[in-house]
Amino acid sequence: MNRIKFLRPGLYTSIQDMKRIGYKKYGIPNSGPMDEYSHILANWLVDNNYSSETLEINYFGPKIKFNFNTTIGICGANFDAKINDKRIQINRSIKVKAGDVLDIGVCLNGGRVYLSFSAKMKLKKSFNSYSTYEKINIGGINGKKISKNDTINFNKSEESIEKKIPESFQRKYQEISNIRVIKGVNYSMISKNSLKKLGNEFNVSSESDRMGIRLNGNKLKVSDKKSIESTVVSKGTVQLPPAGDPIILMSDSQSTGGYPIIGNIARVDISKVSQIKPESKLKFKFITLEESESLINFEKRKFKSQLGIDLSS
Amino acid sequence: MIGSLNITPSGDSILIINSDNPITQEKLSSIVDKIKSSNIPEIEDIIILKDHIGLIYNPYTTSYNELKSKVNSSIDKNSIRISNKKKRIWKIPICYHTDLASDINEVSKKLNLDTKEFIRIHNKSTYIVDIIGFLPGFLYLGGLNNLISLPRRKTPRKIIPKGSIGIANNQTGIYNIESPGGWNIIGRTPHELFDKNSDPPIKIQQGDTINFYEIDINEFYKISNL
Repeated sequence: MNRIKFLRPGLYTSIQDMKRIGYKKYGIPNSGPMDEYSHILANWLVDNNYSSETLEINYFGPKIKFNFNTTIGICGANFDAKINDKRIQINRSIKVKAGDVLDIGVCLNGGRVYLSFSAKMKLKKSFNSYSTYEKINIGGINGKKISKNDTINFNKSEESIEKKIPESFQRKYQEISNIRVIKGVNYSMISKNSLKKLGNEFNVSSESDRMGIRLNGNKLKVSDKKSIESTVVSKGTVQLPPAGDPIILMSDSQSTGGYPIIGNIARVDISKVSQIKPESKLKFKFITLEESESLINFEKRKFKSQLGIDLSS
Repeated sequence: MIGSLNITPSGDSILIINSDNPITQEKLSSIVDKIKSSNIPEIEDIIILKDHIGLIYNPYTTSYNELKSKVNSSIDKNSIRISNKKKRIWKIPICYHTDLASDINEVSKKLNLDTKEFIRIHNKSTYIVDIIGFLPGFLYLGGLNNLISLPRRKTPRKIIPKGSIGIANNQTGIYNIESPGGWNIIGRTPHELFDKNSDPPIKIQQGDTINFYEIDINEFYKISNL
């Protein structure tokens, strides 16, 4: 049996495919990778469909033993990664042999990296997705993050692939991330004073997780205290709870929310948000829906023309 | 005809449909039926809320304006007819015993009611499923009697057991999975309404009617152990 075994699970490693679609109406979140951009590129490295399952690795990675020959792809933030104690480059496909040990250590910038396999994992889907969602234990391996000594079985695959993520797709992780955002449905509730502070720096809190990225250091207020009806929220929705510290909802976020929505992160910038290290800074830049849509179209054309990936399929 | 429907964007991947005039749950679900029957592939999910509808779409497959016109024409194609679907009514057992209802005594005290009176009021109302969401299978039920309305707890609890029934503001709600939460817990149902191994995982739909009937703690454990 083709198999990998986790000698060390890492801080929080989980199996994610693109997303679980169509179950928000029952309160089940989309899940899926925090950084879809790197997830897509990791799959490209091993010739997989862009929505296939990968391992999402957060801050400190796993140690994995292979018992078969295959090709893997690693894409995302820069991690200290080794095979059999020899340093390897990420953002490219890598051949591994039976007996090899892959050791993904600490992240050097950003926060997340995605590990793809040219071989297909043998797993069971839950609600049409492999994505792990721990709250009700669905997807992944028994609905849980990876633990020590877990194994994943694979279908046979010995194809040898050699690919490298082009320079123009590699992201730089900066001290201050400028994030584009569209005005939210409750933008007009923001108080006059807070509107002036909206462009100031926010700090990314270490209390962030797959549900949401919490900001602090720049409290905002709403002028209108009246409560609002719950409405649909999704990845990238920026909520303002009464305490004044905004939350950017992420992959495992709930389907509805009752806090004022002050903005929605532009789709192409959500993956950047997911890579901002805790205690780093973020600044919002407001753009229109039309501008966000042209950024999406630009990204679509770039993926299609340079990598042959059709993001609209 | 429905008239005066507004379609607006929320970010670049959500489309909201609401109305200038008060809109009933029946109208909202018949609009959703229309949209569903048009099979618009760009739509990933449709969520009905208290007075509006949220469509989640994939912005890599459509622009907002393209989707808006598709949605508009699917709604306009025929006049909206209120479907004659039978009203779905669910009868759900609830046990108000203090072992399972950690806040019932405190809540009754705050409301200046004795616990029996509180139970009578909570039990006799007919509730409508306003929203399913927030947590997997969480049911927000509208129709709570004003006499027993009170805000959420100041400090949420770390663990609320599966099946717990709470009240907060003008709603009562059912926690169908164990989770943290801030509602005042006033009872528990032994029925498992959410099943992650079934698709769909919950049979109760938004807009359905819920009636509670009281059971004692012996019956509660009898049903839970089935």
